[in-house]
Order: sequence, then C-alpha cells, then structure tokens
Amino acid sequence: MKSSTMFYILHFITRTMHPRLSRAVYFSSEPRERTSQAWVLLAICLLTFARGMQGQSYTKDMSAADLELQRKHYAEHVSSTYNFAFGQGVISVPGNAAVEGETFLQPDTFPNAKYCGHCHQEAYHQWQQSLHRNSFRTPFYRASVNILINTKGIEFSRHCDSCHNPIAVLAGGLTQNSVVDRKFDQDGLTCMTCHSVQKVQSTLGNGSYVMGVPAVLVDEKGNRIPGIPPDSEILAHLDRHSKAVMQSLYRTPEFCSACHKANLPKTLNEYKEIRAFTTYDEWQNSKFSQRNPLTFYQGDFTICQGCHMKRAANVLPEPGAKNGTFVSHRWPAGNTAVPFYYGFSEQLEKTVEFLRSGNYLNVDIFSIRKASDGKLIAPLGSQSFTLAKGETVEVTVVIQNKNIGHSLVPEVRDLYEAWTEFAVSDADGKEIYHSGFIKPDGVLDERAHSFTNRPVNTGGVFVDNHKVWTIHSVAYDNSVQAGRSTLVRYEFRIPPTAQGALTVTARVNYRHLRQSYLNNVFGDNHPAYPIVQLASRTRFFNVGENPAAGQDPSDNPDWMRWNNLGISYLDQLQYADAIRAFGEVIKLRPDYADGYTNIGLTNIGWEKFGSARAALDTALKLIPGNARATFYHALVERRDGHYDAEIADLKKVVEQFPQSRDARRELGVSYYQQDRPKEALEQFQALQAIDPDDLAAHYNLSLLYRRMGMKDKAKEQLAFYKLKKVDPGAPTYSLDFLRSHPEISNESKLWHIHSDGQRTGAEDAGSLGGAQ
Amino acid sequence: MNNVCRLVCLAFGLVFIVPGLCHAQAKCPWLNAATAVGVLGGEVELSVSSRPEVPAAPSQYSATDQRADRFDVTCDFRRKVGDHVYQLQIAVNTLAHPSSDFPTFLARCPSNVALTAIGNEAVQCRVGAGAETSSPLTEKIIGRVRNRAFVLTLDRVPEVTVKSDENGLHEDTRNLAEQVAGSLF
Repeated sequence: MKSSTMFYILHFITRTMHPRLSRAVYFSSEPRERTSQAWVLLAICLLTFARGMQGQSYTKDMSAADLELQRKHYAEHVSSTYNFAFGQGVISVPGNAAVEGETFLQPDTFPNAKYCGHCHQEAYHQWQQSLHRNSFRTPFYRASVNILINTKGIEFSRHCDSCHNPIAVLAGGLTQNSVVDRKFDQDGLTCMTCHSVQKVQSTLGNGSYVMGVPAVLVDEKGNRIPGIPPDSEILAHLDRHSKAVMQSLYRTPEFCSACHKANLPKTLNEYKEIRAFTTYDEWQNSKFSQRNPLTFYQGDFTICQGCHMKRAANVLPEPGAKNGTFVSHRWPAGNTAVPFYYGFSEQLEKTVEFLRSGNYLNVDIFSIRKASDGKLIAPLGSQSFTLAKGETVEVTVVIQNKNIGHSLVPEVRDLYEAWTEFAVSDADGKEIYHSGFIKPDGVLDERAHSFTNRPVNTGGVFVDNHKVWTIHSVAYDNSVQAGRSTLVRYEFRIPPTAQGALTVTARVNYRHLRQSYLNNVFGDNHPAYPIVQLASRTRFFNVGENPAAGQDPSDNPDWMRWNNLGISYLDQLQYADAIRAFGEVIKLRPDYADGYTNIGLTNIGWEKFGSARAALDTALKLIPGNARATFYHALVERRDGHYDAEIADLKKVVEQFPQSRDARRELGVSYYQQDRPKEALEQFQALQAIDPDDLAAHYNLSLLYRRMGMKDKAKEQLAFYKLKKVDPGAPTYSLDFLRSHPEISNESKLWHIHSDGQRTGAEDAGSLGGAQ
Repeated sequence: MNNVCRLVCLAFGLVFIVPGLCHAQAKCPWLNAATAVGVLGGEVELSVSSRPEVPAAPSQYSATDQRADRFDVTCDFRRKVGDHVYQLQIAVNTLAHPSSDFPTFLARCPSNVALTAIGNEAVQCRVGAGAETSSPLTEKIIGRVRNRAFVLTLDRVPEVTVKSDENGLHEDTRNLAEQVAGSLF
C-alpha cells in the first residue's frame, strides 16, 4: 500500500510537470509492479527537479534519459501480460519487424497523421485515401486476419500486422490481454511509420524494417530527438526536420521490399517456409532494375517509386513539394476495392487512370488457324486470308506484360482477379462466342483464362478467405512475369448463316477482389465492385475475303509480335514452335542480336547445344560481349566441357551485372565443379546477399562451409535449405484439387484451348509447323 | 519541494487518482478495455454478458467453437465520475433474417445520419436528454456486418473534447464503431 500511495502521488507530480510524460505512465494492478513504477516515477521527478527545466521547450524538457525511462516502464508494463509465444523478448515473430531498442514502443511516440497534415496538407490529403492509410481497417483485411486471430490466436497476426499495423505490433497490442489503446488503427501506416524506418534488415520482407523511435527533429549534431514538438520548433529548424524524417533509404526499392515481399514462415503454418509473394524480386528480375542481363527487352532504370510515387502538381500547400510538384502519397496501384468501399472517388479515379496508363500491357490478336487446313495465318493485319461460313477457327491471343515492373498480377493472387475476356459477335451484334464473362451472380466464368493462382490445403481444397497458413501447394499459377508474354487460345465456330464482319475482341480485365472473397466479407448481398479493363484489342473478320490491312500504329511492330509469340511458346515448353517464331523475328530484323540469343536459349532448353552455340555466336558477332548472349554461351561451354571458357564468360557477365542472380549462381556452380571452393563461396555469398531465399545458395553454402570446417554455418544453411525447399509431396494436393475441378483443371496445362466444346490440348497437338 | 507542496500533491493524488482506478477482469471481444479507457477518459469497469445459445456461425468458426466472439455478446464499459456514470455499450445480435430484422434495430436511431464504410451499413444518431439516457451527449451507432447487428451507445464524458461534424456527431464514435465492425468482419 505504501508503495502504491507513493506511486499515485508521484504520478500526479509527474503529470503536472510533464504532461507528455504522464501519457506514457500506466497503471498496473500488480503491487510489485506498482512499487517499481513508483521508483521509476521518483527517478523521473528527481531528474526533472534537478534540471529545473519545467516550462521549457520539448527538446529540452524531455531528455533522452527521460524518454528511455518512459519506454522502459511502458515495456515492462506491456511485457507483464504479453504472450511471448515465439520466445521471451521476441516481439514480432512470425513477422520480421524490428525496432531500435528492441523492446516495446509506446504508440503515442508516433505523431498521428493530423499532426503532420497540419503543414503537409497535400501529403495528408492524398494519404487519407491511400492503401497505406487503410492498411489495417478495411473489411477486406480484417475479414481474413480475424480468421487467423479466431482460429490460431492473435499472436499469429503479428505476421500480417508487421506490415499492416506496425504500431500495434511494436506497441505490444497483439496479445490476448492487450493493454494498448487501439485508436491508431484508423491510421494504418501513418506518416511516421514509414518516416521512422531507419534501415531494412534484409530483403526477406514480412516487415523486415528496423523502426526507429519516431523523431521529427534532429539536434545540431544530427542526433534524432524523439517527441512531438510544436510547429514553431519545426519551423525554426526546417533543415533538422528534413534530416529527421527523410532518408536516402526511402528512395530505394529495398525500402519497399520490407513489406512488398512476404513468405509464410514455419512459425505461422507449422509446416515449412513457403514463398507468398515476391514483388521486389520480380522487379529485380525485370528490365527496370537493370540488374538482370537475361530480360527479353531492355528498359530505363525505374524503381517502385518511379511508377507508384510519380510527381504531380500539388493542389494544397505542401512544404515537401519541389518546383510545384510533389511525389504521390496515394501510391496508386491496383486496389479499387478500398476506395470503392470508402467512397474515395478521387483515389478510385486515380487508380483506374493509373491501371490504364503506362502502356503496361499489350493485347495482340495474333493469329488464326482454320480447322479446315490447320495452317497458321499470322501475324493478323499483315496477312490476307479467307473465312467461310460454318468454319471452326482457332484464334491466338498474345498478352504481353510489357511495362509492369512485376508480375501480372502481383502479390496476393488468390484474392485478385485478372483475366482475359474474349468475345466474338456477328454483324448484328449477336454473340457467337464469349469467354471470361461475369455471371448474373457476379462470379467470373470459371473457364476464363485467369492470371491468378489457386493455392490449396492438405485436403486439396482451394484456400479461400486468404487463410494462408493452411496453404500447402499451388494448383496453378498463370501470372505473367515482367517482360514476358503468354499465349491464350480460343476456338469458335462461324455460324452457317453469318454474313459480313465478325467483331473479335480480346481484353484483359481486373477486379479487386475475387467475387467469392467479396461475398465472404460482406455476405452475398453487396454492391458490385469495379471491373477495370486494363487493355484490349479488337479485330474484324470478314466472312469471305480479308485483305492484309497493314500495321495498326497501336500494335507492337511485327518483329516484336513474333518475339512475344516465341517467348510464350518458350514458357509453354514448345521449343520447336518457339524457334520458328524467333526465326520470324530475325527474318524481319536480322540485326537483332536478341533474336539469335532467343533461339540459342530455346535450344539450350531443348538440349540442342550445337544449334544453341551457332545462334549465340551470331548474337555475339552482332554485339560482342553482350551479357545476355555471353551468359547462355557459358552454359554451352559448360556442356561441351570447356570449363575455362565457361568461367571466363560468366565472369564477364558478373562484371557487367554484379547483381545478377543467375550469373552469380552459375559462376558459383562453375567454381564448385572446378574444385575452387573459395571462389565458389564468394559467388554464393554474393548471391545470398542479392536473394536471401535462393535455394541454390543455401544448399551450396552448406556444402562449402562444411568442407571448410565451418560446421555451424553449414548446419544453418542446410536448415534453411530444408525449410525453404518445396515439399515434394505437396503437388498431390494440387492434383486432388484439379481432379475435383475439371472446369479449372484445363488452366493448369501449359497448352490448353478455350472453346465451347472445351477441347483439350491432347486432342489438338497442332503446332506452328504450317506457318505461312 | 517543501512540505506544503508535498501535502498538496498528496491531497490531489488521493482525490483525483486513487478513486479512478479500477481493473477489469472480463474481456470484450469487440473492443479492448484500453481503447474504452481512451474514449471515456479514464479507468473503466467492464461487464460482459453473452447469449451463448445464439451462435453467429460465420464460416470461419467450427461448430464446436466456444470463443466469445462467436456469440452475441454485450459489453458495458462504465466510468464513474462523481455521481455520474458514463457508459460505452456495445451490443451484438445475430439476425436470422437480416433484411427484415435489421430495420427494427435502425428504429432505435429514428433521426439518423447514414455512415459510409462502417460494416455493411450503419447509421449514427444523437440520443436526446430524457430519451434513452440521461445525457445529452449520448450517441448511438447502429450497424450491420453480414448477419450481425451491433448497437454502440456512448455517453460522452463532457471533459473529453473531440471534434464533431456539422450534425453535432462525433468522429471518435465512428472510429469506435469502425473498430467494432472490424472485429465482426
């Protein structure tokens, strides 16, 4: 009782002298804790009296020692009831969030967005409607995280909330007996969550940032000063404000990787580590990173912020603006559901505008093949042909992920719907064929060609409701990686009575989110969520003569159309057709070195190394030292036993592209095979620094460390390898799913055709052999 | 610090701090007590009543699940200031027929403002003096998430000043309702 009384008295004194300090002082029901609290408070009081600083500005009246003491006290209080399910002192696991000081941080140390918005009006206005602001509170997120909380426990939600609600994680709010006021939930990722990150631990994602104690000012020596000063303090030291809240790190793709990459750790699923989404890796492998020599096309260096934080004229006052423009704090991307639900019409409009801008996708109605003669007529527009009534026609649509710096669609593909809609109508507008339509209940045609995936659990059942901790396998994943293309085949029959022109349209649509998920969130009765047409192409087929019409300016040039076809065939493992398509490329552009390289790499896949060498030699004659051709040339040298040449080639690639995963990996293998362990080790370590999840790096490092007597490191790498390696038994769950879903199973085949009769690939093994 | 100051501090501490302390034993599935403390401006008492015979049965629960949030639970957070008791009540009810049952809940908020983006649907109203509560600062938000209705009633503590809109309705009540709806999704 005595200590309690002292506690109350001292608390009152402290409250009077230190209003901010008092906010961080919490009551405890435990007598022992109260005693310790009393002593803490006494110490604070003595410090304050000793310094005689009452009434001075915040930077002076709140010393670092005061703040540390407050935090210590807060952390002790939270720790007393916190569920340390994943180890004593471990705050964020199964997430990766870390915080300076490595203990709980008071939520009030994060200034709220309104505080920042007082001056940064444009940023605040944009942020309010953004996905970052709405990262936690939306029904779309809550519906799935609630299931995790209700079935496994709130402590597991630290995995999701390390990115969706970092303050809740770092404040210790995600525990059964939480003592944390959750008023910050509305702000999700508020200004000072991003602007307090001090570094990124690795590119493993799952919230792999290190949060600093929020500070909006630094002192004259550059030391961060935590606390929430009045505007006058900031205005008097704008340079120090800028140093506190802006870092060069924020302008790197690695900053985004902290959350735009995720895996499902064993601590979450009690199974093994499964990659969830890898947006950062996809960017790194894209032409926009200029880190990968193997991309099919080249592009200007563009980081995440280059597309998602573009500069635009600011409307409202914004001290962060430069020359009247401000980087977007809307982060426009693909999510139309959140602005639709909240009625954020401006954000919705900007999102749709963003999705349709940038020449991100190209839809090409590339070719037809008549069942009557089986000959391929391609590329459409440049070839004349005739069509007869009653004829069955196969149309090839090539969809190119042209300028997206990641896959179509990225991230949580089980929740998004992106698909091809293909429609044919007669001259009267009567529908002849339609794939990818929306049914009256809002559900997408199950047989649509969809760029999503189908994760399944151990029962072979689709993992609905984003219950990611139950995922054991993926039945199919038809997403299109950056810079690559995919081929979609449709077959329809021209009606015997048809006359005039048939209208053939292919489009790529996007809906955020899948209808079944929307139904799970809201029940069946909810407004229809927006479907955005991302790209489309229409052609007219005359029943009768169709003269060559020439190239449409909106289409890719013919050589690129063939190239995209070749890439599609290559990804579908149809090597002969791919080589023929790439052959058409070099007919049209004999100076195009990549055309020969494409033939070379296809032949390597087909294990025709002699042909591969000839094509690659031609490419290297056209562009000596070309990294892409040199890389594949090295693989041919390896096959032919020319090990010195193989290593020399790969070294050249690494010199040009030191962050190339593939070159590092293959050079590591080369050195390993040549019994040069130190050099191999160097390459695999470099590879692991680029991609900490690379399995080859884990495996080979385990061997090399063991050989060098570093048993602990070897053991660690082997453990990672086992943890991350795909379970060879898992595909059986995919097969269970596909067997029970024939309407979808066609999609899992590399080669399939969409038709009214649902003809399968096996029935029509036709190839490009008859190309004109 | 002189003795007079110490005595003044002691007196203030005894009068204003000690009586306000209270520690809740029960747990509310819709909102934690710390958040209620923030809204009511001080320590609260919580009582929880539930109707376990009425399972909500959303798809995420198993048939044998006994967790509190599966059932219709009413949470009463109370803060006593002098003679007055300020209350934050959250009552959740499962609707057998949402389209016909929910309007009967809405009738408790006859003069209301429709809210955007709280649950599937929600309304907010002020409950006048002499009506359901004794406080002129009482507000209600009645909302629905799928087949569950919630009624949030807040007796606002006068000294806890928060921003109100043109209808005199408060943002923090909506924030609370959003938290409740969020936990029901």
